[in-house]
Amino acid sequence: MRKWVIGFFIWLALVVGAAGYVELKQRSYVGGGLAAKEICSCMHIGGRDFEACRADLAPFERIDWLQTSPLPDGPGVQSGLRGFEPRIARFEEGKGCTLEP
Amino acid sequence: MSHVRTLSLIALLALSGGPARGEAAPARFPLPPQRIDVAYPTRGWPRGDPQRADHIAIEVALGKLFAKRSAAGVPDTRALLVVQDGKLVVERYAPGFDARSRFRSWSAGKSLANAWIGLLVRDGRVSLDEPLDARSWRARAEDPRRAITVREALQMTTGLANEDGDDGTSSFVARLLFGDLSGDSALGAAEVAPIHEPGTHWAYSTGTTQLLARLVVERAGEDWRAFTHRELDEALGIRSLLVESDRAGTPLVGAFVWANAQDWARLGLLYLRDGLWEGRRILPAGWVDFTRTPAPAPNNGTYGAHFWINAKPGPDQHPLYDGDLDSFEMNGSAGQFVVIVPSRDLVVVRLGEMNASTWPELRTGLAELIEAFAPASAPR
Repeated sequence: MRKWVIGFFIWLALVVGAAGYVELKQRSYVGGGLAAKEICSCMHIGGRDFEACRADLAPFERIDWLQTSPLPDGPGVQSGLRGFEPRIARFEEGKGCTLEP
Repeated sequence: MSHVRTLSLIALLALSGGPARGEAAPARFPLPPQRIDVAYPTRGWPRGDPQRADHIAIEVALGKLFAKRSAAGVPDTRALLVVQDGKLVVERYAPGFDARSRFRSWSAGKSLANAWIGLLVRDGRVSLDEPLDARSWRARAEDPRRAITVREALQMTTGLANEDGDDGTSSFVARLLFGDLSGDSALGAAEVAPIHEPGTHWAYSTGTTQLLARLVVERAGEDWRAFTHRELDEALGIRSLLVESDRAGTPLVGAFVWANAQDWARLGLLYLRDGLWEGRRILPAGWVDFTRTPAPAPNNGTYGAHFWINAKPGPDQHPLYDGDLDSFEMNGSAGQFVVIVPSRDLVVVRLGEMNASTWPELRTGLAELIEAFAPASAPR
């Protein structure tokens, strides 16, 4: 009986964990995409600095959960939740910022 | 995630209504007469002082509009322009911004799609009642979505299940602009089920704008940026307009259009002047009246053809402004406004963010500013 109970809770933890992971991955992908795209465009089209652009996203809930920074290798911005692959928006003159997959 | 707020703001735009299919459109206030001495800002804005206006009321309204600041101390309203009788009579910027600053559109950009389609209709390259016929529908002759017309797309009555939604990161618009559909927004917007007969149900959809954007790519007959540059930038004297695109090359006109405040005002003036510019017809005759006529769906009253109209709202909708203001407008989810008021010969542009201010506060401030100008036929 005890084994069944332990097994059930392990199964439940795995299910909840997997669902949470999928949810966080989705939030990181879409949220990181939003932050990367908006801040990239704000900087390179709007002509403002990174911190000012990031501040404009501050009212959005949990935006500070994202790790967001300018790209080290060219004009653009990357953003995502810690532990997940960041989304990248790259700026091209005359075209603006485009999100990578 | 923070975009819950963003997407909620985007969803705020989905609040409109209109006459039933086949019902006569309501009377519209006529557009101002095209006087021979009317000023056009092709090579710089003619400037003047507000006429027929309560100057104190203007200052009070401006004070309200610039009062709210973000946590970082930046006013939410970053640019406020008023064009009266074709002259720039109010031009004010928050500290750190000026006439060269480009501002994001969010959904105000959708109205640029109206201008693009108008240009193509003028040149006979698109007909309002032809099928929209998205790429992925063409392979299937019986696909019911092939019955959707360009007109229905402009009026947001396609019947497709691509309404923006407000459920955060999983909303359709979030997926379209930033998520799994963002690589090819027009394809993502097309590959959804038809859930209403075309023309019978209004639903606000950035995806529908992206379907129109793809049509522009296919019918412009040249690169869409070159088309825009020749037909709008050069014709109107626009110098700052930039439309971003997705990875498939479709312009993201549904949300990501950038221009400085003076250029946004030029676009507004084109509509106030009935699509005419210095005697040249840019948009086809009757296009602006079509644009500011509510889409004929039972649940719509305040949405025309990719422009909003201050008209009697339908069920579950709200008027844009109280009273009988004869305005129509481009607007975006963070309080981007280009408001066109024919009776007062006015274009009012408000650009910025909505960090501390609210939608009703901005609408009230704009209404007070507009009411400070008397109708052109009743000088003070």
